[in-house]
Amino acid sequence: MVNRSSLRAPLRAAALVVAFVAVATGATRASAHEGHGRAAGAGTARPALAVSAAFAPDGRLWVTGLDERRRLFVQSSGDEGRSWGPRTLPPLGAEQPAAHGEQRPKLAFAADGRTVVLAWTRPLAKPYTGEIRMSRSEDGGQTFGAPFTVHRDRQQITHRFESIAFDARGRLHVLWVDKRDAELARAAAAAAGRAKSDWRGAAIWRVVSEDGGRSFSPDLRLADHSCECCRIALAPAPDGGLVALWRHVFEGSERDHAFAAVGDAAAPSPAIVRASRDRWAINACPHHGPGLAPAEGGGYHAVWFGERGGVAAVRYGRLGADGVPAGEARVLPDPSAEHADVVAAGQRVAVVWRSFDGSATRLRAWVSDDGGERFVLRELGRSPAPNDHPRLARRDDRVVVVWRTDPEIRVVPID
Amino acid sequence: MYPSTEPAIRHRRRGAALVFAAVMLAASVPLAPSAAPRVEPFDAEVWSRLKSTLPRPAVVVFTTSYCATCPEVFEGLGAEIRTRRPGAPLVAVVLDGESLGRRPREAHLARADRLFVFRGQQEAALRHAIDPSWRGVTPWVALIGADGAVTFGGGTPTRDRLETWARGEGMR
Repeated sequence: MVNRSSLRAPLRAAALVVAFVAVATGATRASAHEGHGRAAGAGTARPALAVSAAFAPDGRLWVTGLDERRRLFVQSSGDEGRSWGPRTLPPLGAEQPAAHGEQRPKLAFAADGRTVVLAWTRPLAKPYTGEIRMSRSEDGGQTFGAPFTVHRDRQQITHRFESIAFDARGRLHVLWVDKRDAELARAAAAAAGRAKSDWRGAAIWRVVSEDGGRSFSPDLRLADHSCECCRIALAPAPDGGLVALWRHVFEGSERDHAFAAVGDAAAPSPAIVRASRDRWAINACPHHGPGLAPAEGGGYHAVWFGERGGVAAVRYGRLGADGVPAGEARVLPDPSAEHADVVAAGQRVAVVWRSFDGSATRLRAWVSDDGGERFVLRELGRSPAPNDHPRLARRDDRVVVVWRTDPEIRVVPID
Repeated sequence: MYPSTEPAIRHRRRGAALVFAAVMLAASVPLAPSAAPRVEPFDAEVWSRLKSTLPRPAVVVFTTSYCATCPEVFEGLGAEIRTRRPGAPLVAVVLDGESLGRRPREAHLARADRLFVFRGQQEAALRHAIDPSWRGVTPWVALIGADGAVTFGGGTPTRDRLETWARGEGMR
């Protein structure tokens, strides 16, 4: 028998050696990667430029985004961006909203002008997962309350790409891309011994609040089989509710767009209408959600990105009140156009987008004064700096483009 | 004395053997998943060099940390390569490299033969340099043919494109 105590010294030595080699090896690897990181990143983190903009009922223009430390801020301007008030930082603590791809913080005002809500996606530890979070103000955006999660489902899965809006009846709607159904389908497939489920994409889920975001309905399914990585467009409906337009995954992995009414919590699941007919079959994330605006006289103006007949482009089209395409879609006059937005004020229709020309990004607009019959191309700006997708904001007949370019927020009126 | 010192020597030898084994173990077994490729920097110049220096044919997948469809497409491409052209490199390029740590959290990235990250400021400029028609769809897949020609497309390439690529025929 070997005396145990006689082996303690060698064991200790062995443990020390293991620890030393481990630390040394790890340190060497870490240094190598840090070296690569410095070489690749030139020592500067990419700015998170994603902002959202909206006019408050009193006419001030508000934006929300992330500052240079990736903290959520809100800020307002009384002169359409020529000067800005101080930034307010809602009490998020260490929480950092997602701001990549089409993920961006959002803000919306209730008609009373006192209630302001901010919404964002909080990334979770597991890739592609998140929660939809909200912070509320009841003093017109001067102060904000502690953030909370709007949905009841607390699985560590996808709840991302939220959109928010108050409808004409004062109800606050929150919609998002959700994968609870996809996860269930995957689990069922695994239980049945199948390697893959046949679930397409994700789903659109929503909640409704009748009291300005103090409380919410249970989680409600709007539609199965949405695309996973694209923003959802919302617009007012004639009945006082909302309508939604999102990239859907139709049979054959055709990532066209779907349209549906968004009503109160008691409303049955609405019929889904195919609102674009590009028939773009692709197993990928376009990261390009649509834009939607109500048209004077009924129906909607829509913009979206897709590939049709081998031509990838941003297109403009009219939808009927039920979301069915009305007439042929038109390709924007810029093959490099991306991330377009649309708004309408009476007969004026404005479509804005950005496009990179090889040396700088251009901010361009297509403007119609006859309800979308004819458009005129306008050059609104140019920037060699990193920049965000342009977003439109409207108050009555006033339309502005908000475009964040590092380090400024540009506001360009469309007169 | 010899008889009395023999157990001690044996113990010392065992101890030395343990230390030696521990050194070998620590030196040979990586502390993190061994399959994870080394993270390499990426920009337009790297891409220009990579096209001419990668073994051919090759597949390069441009992805982002927030692309939910990318893992499945990546895994599918890996299987296609193993079936159609074993040994051809499968390369991943992550466009939003600032969110990527020293080792990828995503299992599919750990299976890349080489893993690059772009940590620059202008993703739009990079996309334009790689393929001016690329509007940001991910995964954006580059098939580099045996002749060095590169074709691009979003998501899983069609069967025809993959067969052409695998046969090593010209893709121009």
